[in-house]
Amino acid sequence: MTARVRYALAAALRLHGSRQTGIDWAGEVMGMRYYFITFRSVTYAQQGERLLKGSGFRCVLQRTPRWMEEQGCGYALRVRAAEIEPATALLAQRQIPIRRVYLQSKDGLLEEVAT
Amino acid sequence: MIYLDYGATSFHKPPAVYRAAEKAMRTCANPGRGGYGAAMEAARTVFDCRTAAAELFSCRPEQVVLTTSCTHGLNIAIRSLVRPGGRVVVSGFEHNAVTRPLHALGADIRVAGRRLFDWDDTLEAFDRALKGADAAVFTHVSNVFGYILPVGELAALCRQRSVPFILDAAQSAGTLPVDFSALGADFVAMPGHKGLLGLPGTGILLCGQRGEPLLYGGTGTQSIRQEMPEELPERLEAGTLNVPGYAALTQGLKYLKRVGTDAIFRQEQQLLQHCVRGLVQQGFRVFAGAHQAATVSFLTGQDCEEAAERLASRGIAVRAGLHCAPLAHESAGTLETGTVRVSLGFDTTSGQIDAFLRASAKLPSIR
Repeated sequence: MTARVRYALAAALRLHGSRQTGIDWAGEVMGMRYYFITFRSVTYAQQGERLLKGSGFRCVLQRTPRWMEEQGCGYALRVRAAEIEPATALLAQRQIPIRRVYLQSKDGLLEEVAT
Repeated sequence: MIYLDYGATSFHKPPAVYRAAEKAMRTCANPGRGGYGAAMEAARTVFDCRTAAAELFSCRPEQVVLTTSCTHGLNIAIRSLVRPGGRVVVSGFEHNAVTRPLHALGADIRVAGRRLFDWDDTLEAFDRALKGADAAVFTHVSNVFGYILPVGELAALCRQRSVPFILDAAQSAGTLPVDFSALGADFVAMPGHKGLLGLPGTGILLCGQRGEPLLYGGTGTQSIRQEMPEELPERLEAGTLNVPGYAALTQGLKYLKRVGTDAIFRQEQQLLQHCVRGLVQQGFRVFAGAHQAATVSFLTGQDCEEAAERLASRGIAVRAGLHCAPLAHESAGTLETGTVRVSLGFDTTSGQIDAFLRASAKLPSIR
Protein backbone atom coordinates (compact mmCIF):
# COMPACT_ATOMS: atom_id res chain seq x y z
CA MET A 1 0.00 0.00 0.00
CA THR A 2 1.61 3.29 -1.01
CA ALA A 3 1.84 6.17 1.44
CA ARG A 4 -0.49 8.17 -0.78
CA VAL A 5 -3.19 5.49 -0.60
CA ARG A 6 -2.72 5.17 3.13
CA TYR A 7 -3.12 8.89 3.72
CA ALA A 8 -6.14 8.98 1.40
CA LEU A 9 -7.80 6.17 3.29
CA ALA A 10 -7.06 7.88 6.60
CA ALA A 11 -8.64 11.06 5.34
CA ALA A 12 -11.68 9.12 4.15
CA LEU A 13 -12.00 7.41 7.52
CA ARG A 14 -11.85 10.78 9.30
CA LEU A 15 -14.61 12.07 7.06
CA HIS A 16 -16.74 9.14 8.15
CA GLY A 17 -16.12 9.87 11.81
CA SER A 18 -13.50 7.23 12.48
CA ARG A 19 -11.13 8.16 15.25
CA GLN A 20 -7.63 8.54 13.91
CA THR A 21 -4.90 9.51 16.30
CA GLY A 22 -1.22 9.00 16.59
CA ILE A 23 1.19 8.78 13.75
CA ASP A 24 -0.70 8.20 10.51
CA TRP A 25 2.09 6.27 8.80
CA ALA A 26 1.98 3.80 11.67
CA GLY A 27 -0.71 1.95 9.73
CA GLU A 28 -3.75 2.38 11.89
CA VAL A 29 -5.71 2.65 8.61
CA MET A 30 -7.51 -0.52 7.59
CA GLY A 31 -7.27 -1.79 11.15
CA MET A 32 -3.80 -3.16 10.74
CA ARG A 33 -1.39 -2.93 13.62
CA TYR A 34 2.33 -2.98 13.34
CA TYR A 35 5.48 -3.45 15.29
CA PHE A 36 8.60 -1.48 14.54
CA ILE A 37 11.94 -3.13 14.99
CA THR A 38 14.94 -0.81 15.29
CA PHE A 39 18.50 -1.88 14.61
CA ARG A 40 21.98 -0.84 15.65
CA SER A 41 23.03 -0.14 12.08
CA VAL A 42 21.50 0.38 8.68
CA THR A 43 23.32 -2.73 7.45
CA TYR A 44 21.65 -4.89 10.08
CA ALA A 45 18.31 -3.31 9.19
CA GLN A 46 18.90 -4.17 5.54
CA GLN A 47 19.91 -7.71 6.43
CA GLY A 48 16.76 -8.01 8.46
CA GLU A 49 14.65 -6.75 5.58
CA ARG A 50 16.21 -9.17 3.09
CA LEU A 51 15.85 -12.07 5.48
CA LEU A 52 12.26 -11.41 6.40
CA LYS A 53 11.12 -10.65 2.86
CA GLY A 54 12.92 -13.69 1.57
CA SER A 55 11.09 -15.77 4.17
CA GLY A 56 7.69 -14.48 3.15
CA PHE A 57 7.17 -11.74 5.73
CA ARG A 58 5.78 -8.42 4.65
CA CYS A 59 7.92 -5.64 6.05
CA VAL A 60 8.98 -2.12 5.18
CA LEU A 61 12.36 -0.54 5.81
CA GLN A 62 12.07 3.11 6.77
CA ARG A 63 13.74 5.86 8.72
CA THR A 64 13.12 5.70 12.44
CA PRO A 65 11.17 8.63 13.94
CA ARG A 66 13.50 10.95 15.80
CA TRP A 67 11.92 10.31 19.18
CA MET A 68 12.38 6.56 18.74
CA GLU A 69 16.10 6.77 18.14
CA GLU A 70 17.85 8.06 21.27
CA GLN A 71 21.25 8.11 19.60
CA GLY A 72 19.88 9.97 16.61
CA CYS A 73 19.20 8.67 13.10
CA GLY A 74 18.48 5.08 12.25
CA TYR A 75 16.36 2.65 10.35
CA ALA A 76 13.46 0.47 11.41
CA LEU A 77 11.53 -2.41 9.97
CA ARG A 78 7.77 -2.18 10.12
CA VAL A 79 6.29 -5.64 10.65
CA ARG A 80 2.67 -6.68 10.92
CA ALA A 81 1.59 -7.45 14.47
CA ALA A 82 0.62 -11.03 13.69
CA GLU A 83 4.12 -11.74 12.39
CA ILE A 84 6.25 -10.14 15.08
CA GLU A 85 7.05 -13.28 17.05
CA PRO A 86 8.18 -15.45 14.15
CA ALA A 87 9.95 -12.45 12.64
CA THR A 88 12.00 -11.68 15.74
CA ALA A 89 12.66 -15.39 16.23
CA LEU A 90 14.04 -15.64 12.71
CA LEU A 91 16.20 -12.56 13.18
CA ALA A 92 17.61 -14.04 16.37
CA GLN A 93 18.20 -17.40 14.71
CA ARG A 94 20.21 -15.75 11.96
CA GLN A 95 22.11 -13.63 14.50
CA ILE A 96 20.89 -10.28 13.25
CA PRO A 97 20.90 -8.14 16.37
CA ILE A 98 18.02 -5.77 16.99
CA ARG A 99 17.93 -2.73 19.22
CA ARG A 100 14.34 -2.20 20.31
CA VAL A 101 10.81 -3.15 19.37
CA TYR A 102 7.86 -0.78 19.45
CA LEU A 103 4.20 -1.65 19.28
CA GLN A 104 1.61 0.61 17.81
CA SER A 105 -1.01 0.89 20.57
CA LYS A 106 -4.77 1.05 20.07
CA ASP A 107 -4.80 4.83 19.99
CA GLY A 108 -2.16 4.87 17.29
CA LEU A 109 0.77 5.77 19.54
CA LEU A 110 3.96 3.76 19.60
CA GLU A 111 5.34 2.31 22.78
CA GLU A 112 8.42 0.25 23.45
CA VAL A 113 7.89 -3.40 24.29
CA ALA A 114 10.18 -5.92 25.88
CA THR A 115 12.08 -8.05 23.40
CA MET B 1 46.18 -0.93 -27.67
CA ILE B 2 46.96 -4.39 -26.36
CA TYR B 3 46.49 -4.05 -22.64
CA LEU B 4 48.75 -6.25 -20.52
CA ASP B 5 48.76 -4.23 -17.30
CA TYR B 6 45.95 -5.87 -15.34
CA GLY B 7 48.19 -5.76 -12.28
CA ALA B 8 47.64 -2.00 -12.31
CA THR B 9 43.93 -2.07 -13.09
CA SER B 10 41.44 -4.00 -15.20
CA PHE B 11 41.16 -1.67 -18.13
CA HIS B 12 38.33 -3.62 -19.75
CA LYS B 13 35.19 -4.44 -17.77
CA PRO B 14 32.11 -6.58 -18.40
CA PRO B 15 29.42 -4.36 -20.02
CA ALA B 16 27.12 -4.60 -17.00
CA VAL B 17 29.75 -2.80 -14.92
CA TYR B 18 29.54 0.36 -17.02
CA ARG B 19 25.73 0.24 -17.13
CA ALA B 20 25.44 -0.17 -13.38
CA ALA B 21 27.59 2.88 -12.70
CA GLU B 22 25.55 5.07 -15.00
CA LYS B 23 22.24 3.78 -13.64
CA ALA B 24 23.35 4.50 -10.08
CA MET B 25 24.40 8.03 -11.04
CA ARG B 26 20.89 8.63 -12.35
CA THR B 27 18.84 6.91 -9.63
CA CYS B 28 20.77 6.91 -6.35
CA ALA B 29 21.13 9.68 -3.81
CA ASN B 30 23.15 9.35 -0.58
CA PRO B 31 22.68 5.99 1.16
CA GLY B 32 21.74 5.90 4.82
CA ARG B 33 20.85 9.57 5.00
CA GLY B 34 17.20 9.75 4.04
CA GLY B 35 14.01 7.74 3.77
CA TYR B 36 12.90 8.84 0.32
CA GLY B 37 13.07 6.70 -2.79
CA ALA B 38 16.46 7.70 -4.18
CA ALA B 39 18.13 7.39 -0.76
CA MET B 40 16.64 3.96 -0.15
CA GLU B 41 17.68 2.91 -3.66
CA ALA B 42 21.21 4.01 -2.84
CA ALA B 43 21.11 2.02 0.40
CA ARG B 44 19.89 -1.06 -1.45
CA THR B 45 22.62 -0.63 -4.06
CA VAL B 46 25.31 -0.51 -1.41
CA PHE B 47 23.83 -3.47 0.42
CA ASP B 48 23.75 -5.46 -2.83
CA CYS B 49 27.51 -4.95 -3.06
CA ARG B 50 28.03 -6.19 0.47
CA THR B 51 25.94 -9.30 -0.10
CA ALA B 52 27.62 -10.07 -3.43
CA ALA B 53 31.02 -9.79 -1.75
CA ALA B 54 29.87 -11.85 1.22
CA GLU B 55 28.78 -14.61 -1.17
CA LEU B 56 32.03 -14.64 -3.11
CA PHE B 57 34.30 -14.49 -0.07
CA SER B 58 32.32 -16.56 2.46
CA CYS B 59 31.59 -13.99 5.11
CA ARG B 60 28.64 -12.01 6.48
CA PRO B 61 27.53 -8.76 4.84
CA GLU B 62 28.38 -6.69 7.90
CA GLN B 63 31.96 -7.94 7.65
CA VAL B 64 32.26 -6.29 4.23
CA VAL B 65 33.60 -2.78 4.71
CA LEU B 66 33.57 -0.70 1.55
CA THR B 67 36.74 1.29 1.06
CA THR B 68 38.18 3.55 -1.59
CA SER B 69 41.04 1.19 -2.44
CA CYS B 70 43.06 -1.75 -1.22
CA THR B 71 45.57 0.70 0.17
CA HIS B 72 42.81 2.37 2.20
CA GLY B 73 41.77 -1.01 3.56
CA LEU B 74 45.33 -2.01 4.40
CA ASN B 75 45.83 1.24 6.30
CA ILE B 76 42.68 0.58 8.35
CA ALA B 77 43.79 -2.98 9.02
CA ILE B 78 47.38 -2.13 9.91
CA ARG B 79 46.38 0.74 12.19
CA SER B 80 43.90 -1.58 13.90
CA LEU B 81 46.37 -4.39 14.53
CA VAL B 82 49.79 -2.80 14.88
CA ARG B 83 50.85 -0.49 17.68
CA PRO B 84 53.81 1.86 17.19
CA GLY B 85 57.01 -0.14 17.43
CA GLY B 86 55.19 -3.45 17.31
CA ARG B 87 56.91 -6.46 15.74
CA VAL B 88 55.34 -7.40 12.42
CA VAL B 89 56.26 -10.24 10.08
CA VAL B 90 55.90 -9.63 6.36
CA SER B 91 56.88 -11.61 3.30
CA GLY B 92 59.73 -10.58 1.05
CA PHE B 93 57.31 -9.49 -1.67
CA GLU B 94 55.12 -6.83 -0.07
CA HIS B 95 53.85 -3.72 -1.80
CA ASN B 96 54.40 -0.21 -0.42
CA ALA B 97 50.75 -0.25 0.62
CA VAL B 98 51.92 -2.62 3.37
CA THR B 99 55.45 -1.45 4.09
CA ARG B 100 54.82 2.30 4.14
CA PRO B 101 52.06 2.22 6.80
CA LEU B 102 54.24 -0.08 8.88
CA HIS B 103 57.19 2.25 8.43
CA ALA B 104 55.04 5.22 9.47
CA LEU B 105 54.14 3.37 12.67
CA GLY B 106 57.77 2.69 13.42
CA ALA B 107 57.00 -1.02 13.37
CA ASP B 108 59.78 -3.56 13.89
CA ILE B 109 59.44 -5.19 10.47
CA ARG B 110 60.75 -8.75 10.10
CA VAL B 111 60.94 -9.94 6.49
CA ALA B 112 60.35 -13.68 6.10
CA GLY B 113 60.90 -15.58 2.86
CA ARG B 114 62.93 -14.05 0.08
CA ARG B 115 63.08 -16.83 -2.50
CA LEU B 116 60.73 -16.55 -5.43
CA PHE B 117 58.26 -19.37 -6.08
CA ASP B 118 59.65 -21.34 -3.09
CA TRP B 119 56.93 -22.37 -0.67
CA ASP B 120 59.30 -24.28 1.59
CA ASP B 121 61.47 -21.22 2.04
CA THR B 122 58.48 -18.97 2.72
CA LEU B 123 56.91 -21.32 5.25
CA GLU B 124 60.14 -22.08 7.11
CA ALA B 125 61.01 -18.41 7.32
CA PHE B 126 57.55 -17.49 8.63
CA ASP B 127 57.65 -20.36 11.09
CA ARG B 128 60.82 -18.89 12.61
CA ALA B 129 59.80 -15.26 12.42
CA LEU B 130 56.34 -15.58 13.95
CA LYS B 131 57.74 -16.36 17.39
CA GLY B 132 57.17 -13.25 19.47
CA ALA B 133 55.46 -11.38 16.64
CA ASP B 134 52.59 -9.02 17.35
CA ALA B 135 51.07 -9.35 13.88
CA ALA B 136 51.73 -10.58 10.36
CA VAL B 137 50.89 -9.01 7.01
CA PHE B 138 51.44 -10.88 3.78
CA THR B 139 50.42 -10.66 0.18
CA HIS B 140 48.55 -13.43 -1.59
CA VAL B 141 50.27 -12.76 -4.95
CA SER B 142 53.33 -10.62 -5.63
CA ASN B 143 52.35 -7.74 -7.88
CA VAL B 144 55.82 -7.80 -9.47
CA PHE B 145 56.52 -11.47 -10.04
CA GLY B 146 53.15 -13.17 -9.72
CA TYR B 147 54.46 -15.45 -6.96
CA ILE B 148 51.48 -17.07 -5.24
CA LEU B 149 52.34 -17.38 -1.58
CA PRO B 150 51.10 -20.39 0.45
CA VAL B 151 48.52 -18.27 2.27
CA GLY B 152 46.48 -21.18 3.57
CA GLU B 153 49.52 -22.58 5.32
CA LEU B 154 50.69 -19.15 6.47
CA ALA B 155 47.24 -18.50 7.91
CA ALA B 156 47.39 -21.80 9.77
CA LEU B 157 50.81 -20.91 11.21
CA CYS B 158 49.48 -17.57 12.41
CA ARG B 159 46.41 -19.16 13.98
CA GLN B 160 48.53 -21.79 15.73
CA ARG B 161 50.67 -19.05 17.24
CA SER B 162 47.74 -16.72 17.93
CA VAL B 163 49.32 -14.05 15.76
CA PRO B 164 46.68 -11.80 14.17
CA PHE B 165 47.22 -11.33 10.47
CA ILE B 166 46.22 -9.30 7.46
CA LEU B 167 46.07 -10.67 3.93
CA ASP B 168 46.72 -8.36 0.99
CA ALA B 169 44.55 -9.82 -1.77
CA ALA B 170 45.20 -7.00 -4.25
CA GLN B 171 46.42 -9.33 -6.99
CA SER B 172 44.41 -12.43 -6.12
CA ALA B 173 40.81 -11.34 -5.51
CA GLY B 174 38.84 -12.37 -8.55
CA THR B 175 41.33 -14.97 -9.74
CA LEU B 176 42.28 -17.13 -6.78
CA PRO B 177 39.93 -18.38 -4.07
CA VAL B 178 39.74 -16.10 -1.02
CA ASP B 179 37.69 -17.92 1.60
CA PHE B 180 37.46 -15.54 4.52
CA SER B 181 35.86 -17.97 6.92
CA ALA B 182 38.46 -20.65 6.20
CA LEU B 183 41.45 -18.31 6.46
CA GLY B 184 40.57 -16.98 9.89
CA ALA B 185 42.20 -13.66 8.99
CA ASP B 186 41.66 -10.55 11.00
CA PHE B 187 41.46 -8.54 7.80
CA VAL B 188 41.61 -9.17 4.06
CA ALA B 189 42.03 -6.14 1.82
CA MET B 190 41.37 -5.95 -1.90
CA PRO B 191 40.80 -3.31 -4.57
CA GLY B 192 37.58 -3.10 -6.52
CA HIS B 193 39.23 -2.17 -9.79
CA LYS B 194 41.64 -5.02 -10.51
CA GLY B 195 40.49 -8.65 -10.50
CA LEU B 196 37.05 -7.74 -9.20
CA LEU B 197 36.48 -5.78 -12.42
CA GLY B 198 34.98 -2.71 -10.76
CA LEU B 199 35.94 0.94 -10.91
CA PRO B 200 38.90 2.80 -9.43
CA GLY B 201 38.00 4.44 -6.14
CA THR B 202 36.51 1.28 -4.70
CA GLY B 203 37.77 -1.50 -2.50
CA ILE B 204 36.70 -4.08 0.03
CA LEU B 205 38.05 -4.80 3.47
CA LEU B 206 36.81 -8.05 4.96
CA CYS B 207 36.85 -7.75 8.75
CA GLY B 208 37.23 -10.54 11.27
CA GLN B 209 37.34 -8.00 14.06
CA ARG B 210 35.81 -4.60 14.72
CA GLY B 211 38.89 -2.59 13.82
CA GLU B 212 39.72 1.01 14.57
CA PRO B 213 38.46 3.85 12.42
CA LEU B 214 40.93 5.58 10.17
CA LEU B 215 38.42 8.28 9.24
CA TYR B 216 35.95 9.93 11.58
CA GLY B 217 32.79 11.57 10.38
CA GLY B 218 29.14 11.08 9.49
CA THR B 219 27.71 7.62 9.05
CA GLY B 220 24.01 8.48 8.70
CA THR B 221 23.14 6.70 11.95
CA GLN B 222 23.59 7.28 15.70
CA SER B 223 24.27 10.92 14.95
CA ILE B 224 24.16 12.11 18.57
CA ARG B 225 27.13 9.99 19.55
CA GLN B 226 30.50 11.63 19.01
CA GLU B 227 32.23 8.28 18.80
CA MET B 228 32.11 6.27 15.62
CA PRO B 229 29.54 3.45 15.82
CA GLU B 230 30.59 0.26 17.54
CA GLU B 231 29.18 -1.92 14.78
CA LEU B 232 30.61 -2.86 11.44
CA PRO B 233 30.59 -1.84 8.71
CA GLU B 234 29.57 1.72 9.57
CA ARG B 235 32.33 1.96 12.15
CA LEU B 236 34.92 2.04 9.38
CA GLU B 237 32.92 3.93 6.72
CA ALA B 238 32.79 7.63 7.54
CA GLY B 239 31.55 9.96 4.85
CA THR B 240 29.60 9.46 1.66
CA LEU B 241 30.08 6.15 -0.12
CA ASN B 242 30.88 5.97 -3.82
CA VAL B 243 27.51 4.51 -4.74
CA PRO B 244 28.07 4.34 -8.54
CA GLY B 245 31.40 2.68 -7.86
CA TYR B 246 29.87 0.03 -5.65
CA ALA B 247 26.99 -0.48 -8.06
CA ALA B 248 29.59 -1.25 -10.70
CA LEU B 249 31.57 -3.44 -8.32
CA THR B 250 28.46 -5.50 -7.63
CA GLN B 251 28.28 -6.36 -11.31
CA GLY B 252 31.93 -7.30 -11.35
CA LEU B 253 31.38 -9.61 -8.38
CA LYS B 254 28.32 -11.14 -9.99
CA TYR B 255 30.24 -11.70 -13.22
CA LEU B 256 32.95 -13.56 -11.32
CA LYS B 257 30.37 -15.65 -9.47
CA ARG B 258 28.76 -16.54 -12.78
CA VAL B 259 31.92 -17.29 -14.78
CA GLY B 260 33.92 -18.76 -11.88
CA THR B 261 37.30 -17.47 -10.72
CA ASP B 262 38.84 -20.91 -11.28
CA ALA B 263 37.90 -20.77 -14.96
CA ILE B 264 39.54 -17.36 -15.27
CA PHE B 265 42.63 -18.63 -13.47
CA ARG B 266 42.98 -21.68 -15.77
CA GLN B 267 42.69 -19.56 -18.88
CA GLU B 268 45.22 -17.06 -17.58
CA GLN B 269 47.64 -19.86 -16.69
CA GLN B 270 47.63 -21.17 -20.27
CA LEU B 271 48.34 -17.71 -21.60
CA LEU B 272 51.03 -17.14 -18.99
CA GLN B 273 52.89 -20.29 -20.02
CA HIS B 274 52.67 -19.25 -23.68
CA CYS B 275 54.04 -15.83 -22.78
CA VAL B 276 56.85 -17.18 -20.59
CA ARG B 277 58.00 -19.64 -23.25
CA GLY B 278 58.14 -16.89 -25.81
CA LEU B 279 60.09 -14.51 -23.61
CA VAL B 280 62.61 -17.21 -22.67
CA GLN B 281 63.13 -18.08 -26.33
CA GLN B 282 63.76 -14.41 -27.07
CA GLY B 283 66.74 -14.46 -24.71
CA PHE B 284 65.38 -12.38 -21.84
CA ARG B 285 65.86 -13.08 -18.15
CA VAL B 286 62.40 -14.24 -17.17
CA PHE B 287 61.24 -14.64 -13.57
CA ALA B 288 59.00 -17.68 -13.72
CA GLY B 289 58.36 -20.76 -11.64
CA ALA B 290 55.81 -22.91 -9.88
CA HIS B 291 53.07 -21.13 -7.92
CA GLN B 292 52.76 -18.20 -10.30
CA ALA B 293 49.71 -16.15 -11.12
CA ALA B 294 49.26 -14.43 -14.48
CA THR B 295 52.00 -11.87 -13.95
CA VAL B 296 55.56 -12.20 -15.21
CA SER B 297 58.51 -9.87 -14.93
CA PHE B 298 61.49 -9.97 -17.27
CA LEU B 299 64.73 -8.15 -18.05
CA THR B 300 65.97 -7.23 -21.51
CA GLY B 301 69.31 -5.93 -22.66
CA GLN B 302 68.16 -2.33 -22.14
CA ASP B 303 66.74 -0.14 -19.39
CA CYS B 304 63.32 -1.46 -18.32
CA GLU B 305 61.56 1.90 -18.75
CA GLU B 306 63.02 2.32 -22.23
CA ALA B 307 61.92 -1.19 -23.12
CA ALA B 308 58.39 -0.45 -21.92
CA GLU B 309 58.41 2.79 -23.91
CA ARG B 310 59.37 0.90 -27.06
CA LEU B 311 56.57 -1.59 -26.44
CA ALA B 312 54.13 1.28 -25.88
CA SER B 313 55.13 2.76 -29.23
CA ARG B 314 54.00 -0.53 -30.75
CA GLY B 315 50.67 -0.40 -28.91
CA ILE B 316 51.61 -2.75 -26.06
CA ALA B 317 50.71 -1.56 -22.54
CA VAL B 318 52.97 -2.95 -19.81
CA ARG B 319 54.48 -1.49 -16.67
CA ALA B 320 58.16 -1.08 -15.88
CA GLY B 321 60.21 0.04 -12.92
CA LEU B 322 59.81 -0.92 -9.29
CA HIS B 323 56.01 -1.31 -9.30
CA CYS B 324 55.65 0.34 -5.88
CA ALA B 325 57.29 -2.77 -4.42
CA PRO B 326 60.99 -2.15 -3.75
CA LEU B 327 60.97 -4.93 -1.14
CA ALA B 328 59.99 -7.47 -3.80
CA HIS B 329 62.73 -6.26 -6.12
CA GLU B 330 65.22 -6.35 -3.27
CA SER B 331 64.29 -9.97 -2.59
CA ALA B 332 64.64 -10.93 -6.26
CA GLY B 333 67.84 -8.96 -6.83
CA THR B 334 66.27 -6.49 -9.28
CA LEU B 335 66.29 -3.35 -7.17
CA GLU B 336 68.92 -1.67 -9.35
CA THR B 337 67.37 -2.60 -12.69
CA GLY B 338 63.65 -2.82 -12.04
CA THR B 339 61.77 -5.09 -14.44
CA VAL B 340 59.28 -5.00 -17.27
CA ARG B 341 56.05 -6.53 -16.02
CA VAL B 342 53.34 -8.22 -18.07
CA SER B 343 50.09 -8.92 -16.21
CA LEU B 344 47.22 -10.70 -17.92
CA GLY B 345 43.49 -10.40 -17.28
CA PHE B 346 40.13 -12.03 -17.66
CA ASP B 347 39.81 -11.15 -21.32
CA THR B 348 43.40 -11.45 -22.52
CA THR B 349 43.66 -13.60 -25.65
CA SER B 350 46.38 -15.74 -27.18
CA GLY B 351 46.35 -13.40 -30.16
CA GLN B 352 47.29 -10.53 -27.86
CA ILE B 353 50.14 -12.56 -26.38
CA ASP B 354 51.37 -13.34 -29.89
CA ALA B 355 51.27 -9.65 -30.78
CA PHE B 356 53.17 -8.82 -27.60
CA LEU B 357 55.83 -11.42 -28.42
CA ARG B 358 56.22 -10.01 -31.93
CA ALA B 359 56.88 -6.61 -30.38
CA SER B 360 59.15 -7.89 -27.61
CA ALA B 361 61.22 -9.73 -30.21
CA LYS B 362 62.48 -6.29 -31.30
CA LEU B 363 63.97 -5.62 -27.85
CA PRO B 364 67.63 -6.42 -27.23
CA SER B 365 68.13 -9.72 -25.45
CA ILE B 366 70.29 -10.34 -22.41
CA ARG B 367 72.60 -12.84 -24.07
